[in-house]
Amino acid sequence: MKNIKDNSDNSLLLAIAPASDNSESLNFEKLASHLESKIGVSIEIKYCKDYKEAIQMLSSGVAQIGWLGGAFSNQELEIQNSLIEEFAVGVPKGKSVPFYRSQFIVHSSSEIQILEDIRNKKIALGDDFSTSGYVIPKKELSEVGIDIENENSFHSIQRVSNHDEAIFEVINGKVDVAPVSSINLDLMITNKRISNKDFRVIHQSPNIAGAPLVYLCDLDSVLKQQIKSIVLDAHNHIDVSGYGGHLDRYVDPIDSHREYIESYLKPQWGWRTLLGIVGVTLVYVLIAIDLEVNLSQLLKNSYFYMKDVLMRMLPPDFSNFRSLMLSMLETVEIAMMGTLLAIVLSIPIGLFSARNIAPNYPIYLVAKIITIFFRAIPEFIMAMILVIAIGFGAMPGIIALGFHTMGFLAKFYAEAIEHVNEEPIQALESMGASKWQVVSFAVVPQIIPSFIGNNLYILDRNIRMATMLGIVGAGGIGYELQSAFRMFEYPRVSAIIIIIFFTIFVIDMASSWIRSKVI
Amino acid sequence: MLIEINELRKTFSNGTKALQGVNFFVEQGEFVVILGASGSGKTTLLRSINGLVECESGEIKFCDNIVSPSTLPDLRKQTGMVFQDFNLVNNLSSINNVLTGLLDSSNTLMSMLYLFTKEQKKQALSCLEMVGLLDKAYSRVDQLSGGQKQRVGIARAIIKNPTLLLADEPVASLDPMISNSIMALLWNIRKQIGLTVVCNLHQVDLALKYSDRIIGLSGGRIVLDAPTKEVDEEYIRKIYDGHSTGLFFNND
Repeated sequence: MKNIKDNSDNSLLLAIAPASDNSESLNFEKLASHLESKIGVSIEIKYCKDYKEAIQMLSSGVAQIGWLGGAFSNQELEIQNSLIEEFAVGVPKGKSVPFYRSQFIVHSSSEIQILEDIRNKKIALGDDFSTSGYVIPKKELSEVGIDIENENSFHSIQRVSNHDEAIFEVINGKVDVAPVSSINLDLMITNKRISNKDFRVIHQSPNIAGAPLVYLCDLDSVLKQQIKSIVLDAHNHIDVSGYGGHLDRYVDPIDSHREYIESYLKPQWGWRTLLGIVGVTLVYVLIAIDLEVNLSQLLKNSYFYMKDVLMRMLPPDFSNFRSLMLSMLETVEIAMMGTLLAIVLSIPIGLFSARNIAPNYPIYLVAKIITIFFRAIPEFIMAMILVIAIGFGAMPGIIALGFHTMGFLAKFYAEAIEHVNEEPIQALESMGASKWQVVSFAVVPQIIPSFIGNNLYILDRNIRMATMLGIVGAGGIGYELQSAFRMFEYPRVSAIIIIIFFTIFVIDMASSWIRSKVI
Repeated sequence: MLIEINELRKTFSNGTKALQGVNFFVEQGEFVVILGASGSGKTTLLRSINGLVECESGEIKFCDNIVSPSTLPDLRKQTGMVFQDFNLVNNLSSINNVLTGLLDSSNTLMSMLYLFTKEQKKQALSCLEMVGLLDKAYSRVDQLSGGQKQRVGIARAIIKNPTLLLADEPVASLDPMISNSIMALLWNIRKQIGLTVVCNLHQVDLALKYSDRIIGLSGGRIVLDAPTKEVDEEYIRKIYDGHSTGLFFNND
């Protein structure tokens, strides 16, 4: 590196880049003279004509301290990080952090609501190097697909020399929208030059770090430490100023950045979630107390009785295996007939209870009520009533299963139909297909997999339920089970349970296989 | 040399010859764009680098070590990946998505309960700041726009400080304007944290704007490997089998 400087002449040079945002408020004189009196070397300020000149003065070692403007924080302009190091950044008056935002403002009576709306409107922009008046807005606008460099994006683009001018242009209705720095906006409100009723903020950028003061890395480390601590302490002695006019104080950029990041820390589990977990636990504890659920008691006593019952059930008695298997077959037949009935009934009812297919609202409502009604009555109760009405045998079982599960299937179909992808439907409609043609070409193919899956599930479920229906006299193996219990023939009970288990196991395997093949 | 690839071949079970003897290298710190039409094998090539696709012959060296099943976990620790369709967990917040990038170095039990150290969370927030999404840290990612989702994807890829970033068509699902800003973000982050980037693209204009070197792939073979500033329309034509690319060049 070529910047070998000699500090023996006991003077320092502070190079200041121009602030494109609002040049009149750059004021480093007081800070420099405070620094001068504290460290006892003369400090000269050089206001450079552009950013390039300032960085040149630093890299050649002519200047030792600098303020490089907003461009410093834009990665658009490259700076050798090894050359300079930031040591202080100003906190604007009335703020607690050295950050600001670029805010898009419109007149309070404007109809513009969101950023996308500013397309083809009159916009005021700062010069190309203005951080919050051009560079950041450019980024924000590109996010919504508006190219700031393309003049066709807007009705007109007016370039302004500072934010105050941009704000007045918006308030006076000369332009529709302008991106401005939140520092200037807040300052103008505080000074009562404008009122916050005059404008609306439609969008704001993420936080932008304020431009820092920098010094050369290879400056004497004692001197660096001295400069830094004096600047960070300056607000206790003088009225500090710098970029943005009067400042509250200077802070360490690294510390303040860390604090800024930390301000976003939140616990991973919010208090609402924790409250929810505590609440649900409490409800269950209360239920357990109310039901006198006592796990230790249960384990201690029931063990003995369970052992007794199981001993009596073993070994299983398969002496009338043939007639048991015939009853089992009857159960499976009842389930299959019930499922068929359910499918046949649920196709029209399912279609009519899908909101997007139902011909009109009354039909939809009636279909919906039917499905809810049959779902609400357990097949057990339905079978009991039917046994009284039409007598013992398979019929009450078939009808009870059929109508109850029709309620389920119709609900499943309706939901599948309501969630079909609308795009092919639109395509068919656009080509003049009628409603029912649309159903058969765009709706049915989409719901076939769930149709098959649901039917298999219902068949599966009906076989399990049918084994129980015999208990109320609706035919099948349940009747055998019931009578074996009544006669205290526990070995036969266990035989029946084993048969039911194997039947359901086989059917389950078979339906999984079919499912994997068809869906 | 960070990556060295020799005679890589891959034929898929349906007979598609995705790679037919590919050779190239990537230097530390380079931004390399692999350019090619759909079906040219660029996704297979990129995925073979971090072992998501297994090749039947040829070798891949990472930091002079041959990549094998035993060295793969180590390579993946040093690699971040950005995907075409973002591959984010939609129901989670941005910060939790970014934190998934640290799972390999986290306590299993604690991380399964979504518990991370303060340091890890600060790291995630810094990464979100780097991609300009700090304000959206606690928004669910399904509420973000496409460009913002890809920014979260990039933050997730860089949180573990990888040596290498693999980007598989990072802008293919985004409109041109946002594509440009995402590529600019990758380009800047590369400089900021000293990454090596290998990026698949099919947009010629973006490749010319954001790369140090362009590798052209056509039919599973490398047809172009040149520094970006030397690449002209004649070269690009090779990649697209002589089809006119005048359209692509009108953009600039």
